[in-house]
Amino acid sequence: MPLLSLERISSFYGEARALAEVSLDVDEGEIVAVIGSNGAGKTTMLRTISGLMHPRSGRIYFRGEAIERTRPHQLIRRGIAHIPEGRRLFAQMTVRENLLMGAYGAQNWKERGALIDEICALFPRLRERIGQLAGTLSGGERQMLATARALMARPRLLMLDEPSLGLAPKIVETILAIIRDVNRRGVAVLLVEQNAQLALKTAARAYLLEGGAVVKSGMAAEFLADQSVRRSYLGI
Amino acid sequence: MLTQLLLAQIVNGIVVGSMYALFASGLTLIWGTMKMLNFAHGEFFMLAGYLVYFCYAVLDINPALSTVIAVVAVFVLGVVVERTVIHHLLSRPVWQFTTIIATLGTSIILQNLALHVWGPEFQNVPYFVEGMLNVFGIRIAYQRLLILGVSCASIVVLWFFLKHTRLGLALRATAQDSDAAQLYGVNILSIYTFTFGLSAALAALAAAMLAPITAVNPYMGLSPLLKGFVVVILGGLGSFGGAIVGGVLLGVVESLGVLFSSTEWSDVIAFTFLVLVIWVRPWGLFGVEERS
Repeated sequence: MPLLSLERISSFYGEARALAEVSLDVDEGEIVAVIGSNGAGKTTMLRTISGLMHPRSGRIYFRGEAIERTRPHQLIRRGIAHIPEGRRLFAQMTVRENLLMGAYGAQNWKERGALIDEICALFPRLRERIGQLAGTLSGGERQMLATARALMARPRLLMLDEPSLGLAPKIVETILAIIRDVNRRGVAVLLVEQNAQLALKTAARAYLLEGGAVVKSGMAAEFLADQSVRRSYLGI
Repeated sequence: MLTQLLLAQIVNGIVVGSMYALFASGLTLIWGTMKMLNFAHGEFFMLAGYLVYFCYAVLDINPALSTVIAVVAVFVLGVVVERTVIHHLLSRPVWQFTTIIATLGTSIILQNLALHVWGPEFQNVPYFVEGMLNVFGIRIAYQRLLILGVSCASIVVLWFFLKHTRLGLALRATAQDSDAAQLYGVNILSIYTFTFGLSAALAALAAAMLAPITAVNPYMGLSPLLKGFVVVILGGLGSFGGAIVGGVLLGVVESLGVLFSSTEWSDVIAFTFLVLVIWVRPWGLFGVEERS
């Protein structure tokens, strides 16, 4: 049984269909990439999984339970952490308060002190900035904080929406190294990226979205070898 | 003599302004978290005035307990109004407009209910504490000092709550980014209900403290509502600190203004001051400039 399973999910904005019968699996402990151009439905897919939107049809299972009608604040407790597009930090709050929001669930809240220490060991930079407002951080630090905030929730599945957006290549490398490290500790990762090269190098399996539908799925290595993918998405 | 008069007016302005601050911080909390305007805020104020009148002036319950009763009862009423009138609108399209009509309707209903049940008469509420303090040749009623003390204490408590409790953190998170707050486990619909109740309770506290000075009647909520909006815009929509500073500032400007004109002009002074401020800073004193 996969950790996360989408079965023929269709989502709409008003009457405009953004996802067309998308099916996708993420297994326990793996990294899965979803690539596709701007407007292909990648963000909509993540929003639908995390409950910010509800699909019009289809089913979503997480650890065997149907979750397509569950509200987002309940999903984080079950183990889905979603780092939305644009990071969406609480800009007027300090780094510490942002991390605390990650531990908002009752169980984690009790252990918030220890969790912050644990996370800061992973991101030493954040410890230096702990009292600073999130809005004053640099782009790389913001992505680190967004990732750290999500990890404070101790998720089973981490979903990232365009983590590389607007970041220098060197910082992107740091972020990806952290994601791989987190994954080695048993957290499954669903990585949505416009930067296909980057995503395919990080993930084991991948899906290609076009116009809201899955048009290709398979091993990341196959994607990297595929001529049409190389032409359209890798610019080679 | 003139300096004493000025000083006395400034002190009075701070006292009244601190109540504006309390009243307006309720409005700004609702705007900040729910992004809506609450036109029934004045009626929560009015109902608390009546509750204090009945508890303290009629039933002779001690003033502190009367205040607590009024604040708790109005908190509960706020929660009920949010759950019955507002809640189901928030998840629907054009809620920005429907909530205005809904709160306006609530205001009219509560006001007319009060008029029907209690009549249009002004009910006087005795001072909670008698006597005057004499300092530097100016006389201040202890009631006014009490008002100042209560508002300072409640602002500190409120600040502590927002800054240092789990619920306060969730409330601020919801205000800053409701989607992100949900993603990290905040049930924003519960936060909305709680915020509405808290806001009503702040109006109630202001009413309880002011009742002995202003007298209780069905229309007593109107003037504070207008002043409350002035303060909220003055301070910057959604800014808690802005509501506090804006409230005190407006109180002082008004009470100095009446030195040069009559009391009927106080609203004119308030709005003129507002227009002048937003002329220079359209986003208010503590608001954030919106960039396109």
